Amino acid sequence: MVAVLVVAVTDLVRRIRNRSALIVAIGAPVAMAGVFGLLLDGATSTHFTVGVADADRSAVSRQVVDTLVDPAAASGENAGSGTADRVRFRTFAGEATLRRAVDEGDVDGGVLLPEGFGADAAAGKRLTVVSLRDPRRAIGGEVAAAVAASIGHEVAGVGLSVRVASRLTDRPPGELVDAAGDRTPAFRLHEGGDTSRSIDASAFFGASMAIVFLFFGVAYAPRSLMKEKEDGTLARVLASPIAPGSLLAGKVLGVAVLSAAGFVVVWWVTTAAFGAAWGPPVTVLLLIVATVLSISGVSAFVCGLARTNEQADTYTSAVTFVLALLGGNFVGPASAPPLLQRLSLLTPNGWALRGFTAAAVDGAAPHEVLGALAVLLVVGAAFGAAGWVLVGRRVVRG
Amino acid sequence: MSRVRLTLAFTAVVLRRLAHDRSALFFMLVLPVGVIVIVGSTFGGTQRVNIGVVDRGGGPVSRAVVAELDRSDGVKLRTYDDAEELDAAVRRRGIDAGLVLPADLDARIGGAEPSTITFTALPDNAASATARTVVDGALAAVGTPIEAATFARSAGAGDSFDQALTVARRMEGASGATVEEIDVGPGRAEAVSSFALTVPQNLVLFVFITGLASGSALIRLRNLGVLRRSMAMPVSARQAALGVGLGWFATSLLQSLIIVVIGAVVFGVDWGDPLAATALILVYALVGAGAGLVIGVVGRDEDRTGAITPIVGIVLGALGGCMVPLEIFPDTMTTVAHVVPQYWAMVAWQKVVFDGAGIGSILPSLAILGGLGAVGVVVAGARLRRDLVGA
Repeated sequence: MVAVLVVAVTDLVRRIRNRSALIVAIGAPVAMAGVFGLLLDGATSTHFTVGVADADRSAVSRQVVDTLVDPAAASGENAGSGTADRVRFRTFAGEATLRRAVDEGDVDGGVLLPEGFGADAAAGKRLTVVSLRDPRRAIGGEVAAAVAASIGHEVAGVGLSVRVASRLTDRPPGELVDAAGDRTPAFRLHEGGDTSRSIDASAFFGASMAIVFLFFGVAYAPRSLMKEKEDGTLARVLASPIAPGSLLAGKVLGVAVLSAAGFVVVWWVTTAAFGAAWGPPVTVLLLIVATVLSISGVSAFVCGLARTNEQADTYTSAVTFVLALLGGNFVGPASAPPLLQRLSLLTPNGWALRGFTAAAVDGAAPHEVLGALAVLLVVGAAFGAAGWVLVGRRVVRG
Repeated sequence: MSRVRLTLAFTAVVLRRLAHDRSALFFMLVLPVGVIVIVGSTFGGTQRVNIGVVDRGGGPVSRAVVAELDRSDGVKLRTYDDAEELDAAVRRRGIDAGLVLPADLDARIGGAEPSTITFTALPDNAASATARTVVDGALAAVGTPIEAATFARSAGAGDSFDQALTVARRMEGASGATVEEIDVGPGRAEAVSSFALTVPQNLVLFVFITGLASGSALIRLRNLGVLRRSMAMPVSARQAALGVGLGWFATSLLQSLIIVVIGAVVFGVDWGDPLAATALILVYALVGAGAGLVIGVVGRDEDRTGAITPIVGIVLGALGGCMVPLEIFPDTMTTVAHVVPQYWAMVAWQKVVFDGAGIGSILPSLAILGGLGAVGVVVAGARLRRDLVGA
C-alpha cells in the first residue's frame, strides 16, 4: 500500500508539473464550458427583427400593421417600431424594399400582407399571408412565419366572428368589426410550468467536456507505462522492490486523483464564473468519483489492447470520440434522436450525463441517481479488471 | 535531380507520414464524417417537434385540441398523466414544449372568460418557438368557431351557444389562413440539404483542427533533427521549407476535398458555384496549413502541443460559428467572432451554399482568409528556413 501511494504521489507531482496534463484536465473543459455558455446562454436574449410591408393598403391591413408595430397605439398611430417579447417589427414601404432588407440582413425575416388581403378577409375567403425568409437565417424565417400565421389566424377569426354575428343578429358587419377585434378568445395561453430548474449550457457542457477530456487524462497512466517500457526505464523501476501491480495501481491512482480534482475545479469554476447550477453537492461529488472510476477502467482496457504508446494514443482518441458522439456529449442526450438516446445507454459517459442532468434539473439526491452510479461503477470495475490484466501482461510482464 | 523534384520529395515525405499515421487519418476522415452524421441528423433540416400534453378534462373540446395537435405536420405528440411529469420532461429536454389542458376547459367554452392553457418550454430551446407556433395554430383551428359563436351571442344573437357554434362551423368552410413562405435572394431553402449547414461547419472546424494538431508532427521532425540532417543533401533550406509547406497544404486540401465529396455524394450538399467553392477550399486549406506550420516551427514540446492544439481548434471553431449557428450569436459574440478565421469561412460558405453566391460576393472573406493563410505560411517558412540554415 505504501508503495502504491509513493508511486501515486510521485506521478501526481510529475503530472502537475506537466502543464499539458493540467490543460487537458482543467483548462480545456473550462474553456469549452465558457464558450458554449457565452454562446448559448446569450442566445436566449437574442432578439429578432421582422419587417412588415402592406401591399394591400386596406383598412384591415393597416390595422394589422399598426397593431404589430405599436400594440398600445393600435387605433391608428404608427410609432414606427415596437417590441413584443423577443420580436421587434419594422415597417417598409413595399414588397421590394422589404425583400431587399431581408436579403441584406437588415431584418431577420419579413411579413407581407398581399394585395387583396382585406377583400378576402371581408368576403370570408381563405387568407394568404406571405412570409419572406433568407435561407441563411432559418430561425429568423421561422419567426417571421410564426408572425404571419398569427396574423392570418387573428384576421380570419375576426372575419368569421363578424359574419356569424351578422347572420345571427341581422346587424350589418361594419357595426361589428371593432367589437370583434376585442372578442373573448376561446383559449388563453399562459407560459408557465416549473422550469426553474433546467440544466444550463455552462453546467451541461462543463460536465460534458470534463468527461470527454477525462478519457485523455486517465489514459496517461497505462500510456506512461508503455512509454517507460519503450524508453527502457520500466525495467529499471521493476528492478526495485516494487510489485508490478503496485506500480500500475499507483499510476492509476495518481491520474485518477488528478482527473477527479480537475473535474471538481471545472464544477467550481463554472459555478462561480458562469452561475452554473450542478445540483446537490453530494450527488455531484459521487457522480464525479463514479465517472472517473468508470472511465479509468474503460481507458485502461483500451490501452491494454495496444502494443505501443502511439497505438494506445490512437485507440484512446478513437474510442473517446465515438463514445462522446454516441453518449450525447456534443449534443446532449435529450436533444438527440430517439435511436441515439437509446445508444447513449451503452456508453458510460451517457449514463454519467444522465446522472448530472438529473442532479441539475431535479436536484436529485444520491439515492435517486443510484442507477447511474451503479452502471458507472460496474463498467469501471469490469473494464478496469480486464485492463489490469491486459496492461500487466503486455507492458509490465511482456 | 531537378529543384522541383527535390522540393516535392519533402512533400512526399509529409504525405507518406500521413498515410501511415492512423490517428491522423481518424481525425481527418472518420471523425468529421461521424460528427456530421450525428450533429446533422440531430439539428439539421426539418425537425419533428416533440410536444407533451396533459388533458385533465377529457371533454370534446380538449380532445379536439389534442387531435388537432396530433394531426399537425412535424409534430410528435406524447401524453402525460400529470403536470409534474410533463414539466420534468421539458426540463430534461425530452420534449420541446408541454401543454396542460385544464379540467374546466370544456366548461368554460362559450363563457365570459377564456380557458387558460399552460404552455411550458425552455427559453433556450430553439424548437420551443416552433412548438409555440404549432400550438397557436392548433388552438386557432379549434378556437376560431368557438370565438365566433361566443361573440355572436354577446352581440345579441338569441341562439344557444351550441346552435351558434354549429352555424359558425358551417360558415367557417374554407376560410382560415395560409402562410406562403418565399425565399429572397438567389438561394432556395427547400433546395438545400438538411446537412447544408452542418457539413460546411465541420469542414471548417476539422480542416483547422487537423492543420493545427499536425503541427506536433513537425515539432517531432525538428526535435529528432530529421530536417537538419536533410541539409546534408544537395537541397537548399528554401526548397526544404517549401516542400514541407506544400505537404501541409496538400494534407489540408486533401481533407477538404474528401469532406466536400462525401458531403455532396452522401449528404446531398450542393456546394454552390464551383469557382467560389474551389477558391474558398483552396484559401481555407492555406489557413489550416499556415496554422499547422506556425505551431510546428514555434512549438517545442510535441506532447504538450498535441494536447493543446485540438482544444484551441475546437474553441476557435466554436467562436467562429462551427458549432452554434452564427445566426443566434449574441451581438457581442458576433463582434468577437470577427477575429477568428473560421467566422470568415462560415460567412462565405453560407453565401455560397444558401445564396448561390459567386466568387465576387465572397471576395472580402477570401481576402482575409488568404491574407491570414499567407502570413502563416510565409512566417513559418521563414522561421523554418532560418532553423535549417542555422544547422
